[in-house]
Amino acid sequence: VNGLFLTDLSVVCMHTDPMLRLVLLVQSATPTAINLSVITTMHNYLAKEMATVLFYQYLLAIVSLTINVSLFLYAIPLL
Amino acid sequence: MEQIIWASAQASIKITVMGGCGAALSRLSLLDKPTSSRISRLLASFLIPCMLFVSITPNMSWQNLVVYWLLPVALLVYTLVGIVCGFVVALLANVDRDMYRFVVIACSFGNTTSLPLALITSLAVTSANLSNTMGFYPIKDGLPIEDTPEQSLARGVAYVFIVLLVATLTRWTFLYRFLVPANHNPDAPDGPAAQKLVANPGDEVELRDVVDDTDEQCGSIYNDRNMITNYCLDDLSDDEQDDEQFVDQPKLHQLPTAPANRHDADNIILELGSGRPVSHIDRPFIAPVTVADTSRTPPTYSLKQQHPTTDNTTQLQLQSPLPPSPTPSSTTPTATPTTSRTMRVLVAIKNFICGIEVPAWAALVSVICGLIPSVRYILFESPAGYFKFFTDALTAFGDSVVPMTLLTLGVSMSEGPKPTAKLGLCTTLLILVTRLFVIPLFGILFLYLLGLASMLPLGLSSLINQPEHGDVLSL
Repeated sequence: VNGLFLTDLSVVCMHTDPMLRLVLLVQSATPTAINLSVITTMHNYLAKEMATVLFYQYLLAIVSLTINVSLFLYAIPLL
Repeated sequence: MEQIIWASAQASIKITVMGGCGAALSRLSLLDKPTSSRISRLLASFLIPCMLFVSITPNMSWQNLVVYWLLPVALLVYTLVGIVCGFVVALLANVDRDMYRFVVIACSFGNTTSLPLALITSLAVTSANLSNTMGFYPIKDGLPIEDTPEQSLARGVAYVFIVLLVATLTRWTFLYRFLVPANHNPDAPDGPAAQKLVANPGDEVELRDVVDDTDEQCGSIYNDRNMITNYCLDDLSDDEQDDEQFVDQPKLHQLPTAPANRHDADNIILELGSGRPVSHIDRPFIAPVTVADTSRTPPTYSLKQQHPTTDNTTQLQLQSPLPPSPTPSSTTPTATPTTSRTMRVLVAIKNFICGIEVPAWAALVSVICGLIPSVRYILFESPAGYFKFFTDALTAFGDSVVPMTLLTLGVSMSEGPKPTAKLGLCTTLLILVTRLFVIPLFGILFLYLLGLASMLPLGLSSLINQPEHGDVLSL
């Protein structure tokens, strides 16, 4: 994705920030928010179930994030 | 490659260890469920708002919001996809009806801040290399410059906090209502108020059920103390025909806990009308007796004595139609419709406020502060640092969000992370696979489609806020 922008001095060819793409992609790969446990604990509603789901997610996230982020870094220049 | 493994492993293990501490403390009975529930309330009403303010405000500006509109939109798209996937998972796993919401939400709301920050911190060098090989040049002072890891990380942090803003707003408005069903009694299973029920069996249960049923606009169970008087205004202005039923309140208070008929329920609501909504959670806000109640006898009016301190004007409005009476049984309400228009406006405003939780308000306030350059400059960027005491205090409180959250998480997990009867192994596995493997694939697809449509924003300016001295001086 290219675009032309006129700065003070010259015409510069610009790309999308790879960091922006990385952040966009990482947002889709993270495990469930821990904040949800705050809400469930506050209401005493399925707090234990939420904690269980979170525990396994963060355990598995070690593997899944590694795989996903490698995939993302491979994909970012191609997108 | 090792970098990535290291980063994600560190972040996840840190969370596990901190949660383990919570579980250990719970085993040592230093922490228990009521305490952790109370900590959660503290988090939601104070610590998380502090954290949001100090993290969102310095990273916000019009430029960021306009140029990087894609970040919030992407988060919303991921959430929607998560909701759809969650429904599919719930159908596949054939869960109970009351677990549907849980499964849907576990699939759709990801960790938006701590984990992405940990990852981009360790990937800053990689990202800067990518910039240079792909030909992305951030502009600083009007000139394109070579990307450095520091520059890259600073941009990444700003991106993450833009996402955090939207995530907070969706979490504490939509999700908050959606996750916990409106008729759920938060103290029922093993809540902190279990003892309270024993101590005061009659009224507590009764009132709670009634309010949960009738509470339509203010479905939120947890209320900020400012929002509490809403019920009173509502009742006084709208339910005038019910006023006659005020007369026999004291007796109604002593009704047994069996499900009441609607007539009784209305009476009790009116009783509440001059008092507080039964927000079971905010005991910390409970304050001493108000003027109208001083003449009443404690046992019959135990609930009335738990009025929260609300602002004085509202309190006066509430009490004027209900003059103090010598004996409880002769309470004669004389609510008049004279102030009804202002009342209605107030009710409308209060209902609106009532729908938003404290963290969402904090997010809104931080955006507003961040979007006004002079405010942002004075608070966070001024070299003189007159408000450093303020921001430092908020930062200190905000820093405690993660440890506190993880401790409460540990307490919930203290009996061992075994899938319970409600949440089978199959459901857990399906949620895991969906959240961690299916939605990321969608993320790549989404970005690919955006690229095809040429809708990815281009890096046309430096995202890092530069102190805008001009604006401040011109004030």
